[in-house]
Amino acid sequence: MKQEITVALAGNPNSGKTSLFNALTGLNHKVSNFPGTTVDKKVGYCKLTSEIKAQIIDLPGTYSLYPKSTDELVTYDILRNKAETDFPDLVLFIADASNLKRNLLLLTQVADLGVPVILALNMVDLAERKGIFYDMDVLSETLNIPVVSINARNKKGIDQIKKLIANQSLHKKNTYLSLDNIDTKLLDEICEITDKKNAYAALQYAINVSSFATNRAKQVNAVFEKHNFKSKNFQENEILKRYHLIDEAVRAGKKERISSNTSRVGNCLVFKHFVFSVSSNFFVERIPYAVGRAWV
Amino acid sequence: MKLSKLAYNQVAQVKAIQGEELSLKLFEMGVLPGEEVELENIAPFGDPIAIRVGEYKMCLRLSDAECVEVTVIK
Ligand SMILES: Nc1nc2c(ncn2[C@@H]2O[C@H](COP(=O)(O)OP(=O)(O)OP(=O)(O)O)[C@@H](O)[C@H]2O)c(=O)[nH]1
Ligand SMILES: [Mg+2]
Repeated sequence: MKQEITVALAGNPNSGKTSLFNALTGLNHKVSNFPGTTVDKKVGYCKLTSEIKAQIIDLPGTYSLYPKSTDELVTYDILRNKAETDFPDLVLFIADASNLKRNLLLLTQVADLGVPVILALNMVDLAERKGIFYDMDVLSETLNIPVVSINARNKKGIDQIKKLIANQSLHKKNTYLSLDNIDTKLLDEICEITDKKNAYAALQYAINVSSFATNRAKQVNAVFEKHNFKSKNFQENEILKRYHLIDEAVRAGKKERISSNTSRVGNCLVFKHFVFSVSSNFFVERIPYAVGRAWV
Repeated sequence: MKLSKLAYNQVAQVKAIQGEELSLKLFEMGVLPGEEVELENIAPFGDPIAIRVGEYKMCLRLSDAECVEVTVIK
């Protein structure tokens, strides 16, 4: 058993990673409602038990393992290079429960890199206001990873997270995407060029470098061409397959919650009002984001 | 019909997305074939637009919305 566990906090932009980082480490990094606040990785420490402590790394948020900007690249550097000293023992993945499907796309990609993942389901309050309730046990079972519900802003569920991080017997690697339909010769060659054992990590890395003008890219592209491998087709297929699996897990994990003391009509009115206010808020918040970051 | 032409209170289903880069990008964001979409809001001057996809909302440039083929279902 390790006395110091390196934990990377990963997740989509604005899912509450820095809030959780602050709650775990007692530090006070900048939290904001503007996605992309954290652009560099930050490190802090957290005492889990009298013997075990954790080194916590706060990473910038991203939507997928195929980065479109340099701060997104930081995330991958540490997650895909096992030789690096700060390669995490564990990824603590923070997902926005009000938008679970899209958040889980990255979770399944990160897990497939060959690192154990635990899921902290955040923003549960926002999901519940939208009428979405999840059963943590069912999610945990369908995703095959430990799941805890938290509120990073109000520091709820933090002790449970610490217990899960300390309990190393629960940390296990998981594979979501099967590469059975990919030519094994191609995978072997890509693993060799990229010097990686995990085939998905190798392929993902190769696809990312293939668009640069480097010698490594030339090598990669030569192998892709030789095996008639179309990276865009692979990626599209990958995303669709992942969402297929996620759809099932999310559907299974949803709980029906019928309110007993409010009438149906009342619920409806409240709900409508909420939708209106959320969409107008959303709009103000997300426009700079959509223009400035997501579509570059 | 194109997603950019969707009116308020119309519910549509994504059929296809034109362009390799864009479809990959939108797939990642959860805009997938079969997914339900609805127009939520239009920015001043008409661009970008906010849409609901499944149970969440996102913004889209009008030029990108033009590449998304949808079928109105409601
Ligand atoms: N309602 C609610 N808000 C939360 C919760 N957790 C965090 N927030 C808020 O969500 C916003 C984003 O939180 P951050 O911790 O900055 O998110 P982040 O993932 O670090 O964001 P980036 O670094 O920009 O990717 C802040 O305004 C937080 O106060 C929660 O459980 N419920
Ligand atoms: Mg942050």
